[in-house]
Amino acid sequence: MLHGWVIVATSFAYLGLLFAIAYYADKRADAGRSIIASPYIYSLSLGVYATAWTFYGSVGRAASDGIGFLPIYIGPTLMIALWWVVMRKIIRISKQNRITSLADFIASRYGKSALLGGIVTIIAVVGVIPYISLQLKAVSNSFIILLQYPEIIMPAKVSVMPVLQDTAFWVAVILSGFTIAFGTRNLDVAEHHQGMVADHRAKTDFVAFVQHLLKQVYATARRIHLVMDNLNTHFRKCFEEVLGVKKANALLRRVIFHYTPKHASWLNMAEIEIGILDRQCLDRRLPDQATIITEVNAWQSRRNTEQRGIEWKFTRQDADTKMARHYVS
Amino acid sequence: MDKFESKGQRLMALALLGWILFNYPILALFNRSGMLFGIPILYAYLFAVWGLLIALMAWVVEKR
Repeated sequence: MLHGWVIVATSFAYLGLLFAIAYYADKRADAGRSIIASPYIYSLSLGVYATAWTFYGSVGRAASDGIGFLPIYIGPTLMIALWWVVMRKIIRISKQNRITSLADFIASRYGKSALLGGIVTIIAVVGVIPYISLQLKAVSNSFIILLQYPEIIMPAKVSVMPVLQDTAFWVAVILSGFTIAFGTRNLDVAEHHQGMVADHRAKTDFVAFVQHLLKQVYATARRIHLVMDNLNTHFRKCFEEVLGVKKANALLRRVIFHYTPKHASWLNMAEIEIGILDRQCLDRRLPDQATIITEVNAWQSRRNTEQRGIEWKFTRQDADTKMARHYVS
Repeated sequence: MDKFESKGQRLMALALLGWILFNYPILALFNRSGMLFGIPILYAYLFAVWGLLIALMAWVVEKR
């Protein structure tokens, strides 16, 4: 005869072990050496697919229909073969759009519909409730069966008991504690609104850069001409947003803005060149600043001796035919 | 073709192969009485194909 407290203590010891592993994994992930980065640990961790109910469900199905328990394992195996294509795409889309839930994912695939997202959320919640109750039932039944051991007595099909005496209730409380401690802890406001944060950053970054330019590099200059393209941060309005109208006016007193033509910014050529520098020279690991400087200089002199120009697709002739009617003859 | 892409296509072909091997016409061929090393033929077939698919997937993914 097993005592209730033995079962409870064992369960808690097991949960504690899981906590310890989760804590260790978190620590490792923070240090940039995630243990999930190992293909073996990742594959084994897919075992979360099998829940407490799998124990009863699979064994039950095997007992009643024989081979009938197998499809729920074979199906995922076949699907895993598609992960290379499908899963990678899903992850890429989710990362790009900073999606963290199934509802957001489906909604974003169909024109960012909030209504659709809501419907998916409701379906998911309603759909998962019976499944959760099965899990809890599996755990509480196990508890009752273990209490009777070595006699094997199945719990009565329908047992009505007060909520506070129902093992399932306490299991639910403990499991939700576990979920709160480890599941939602990584809720990061910045992560979910990174788009917004990044935009804001770009503005403050640009303003800070111009401040540095005016107050330190060209502190004594009487007039400063800023030549820029039409990016949204490059306008007086952006300074006013970040600094306030008064401070912005004081800062920009010496500044004259010049904008390149909207659809023919020659700054693009400079940006193309920077892009090529990035691809041909910087797109690898360079250990220190000295190496970066020598590598960039080497790339630059090679590029200059090669005399590489830009191969224009839109030639003078094209321009002449296309814009003939604008020419004054 | 890019190596990454060709792996994806081979894996898709494997998923399709599995889908065919685990479904009606072919599966029905093995649904008969008889034993193979003491295991019913249908069970032996399913587990063998399952194992084979996993091995093939590992081969496709790990191959350079």
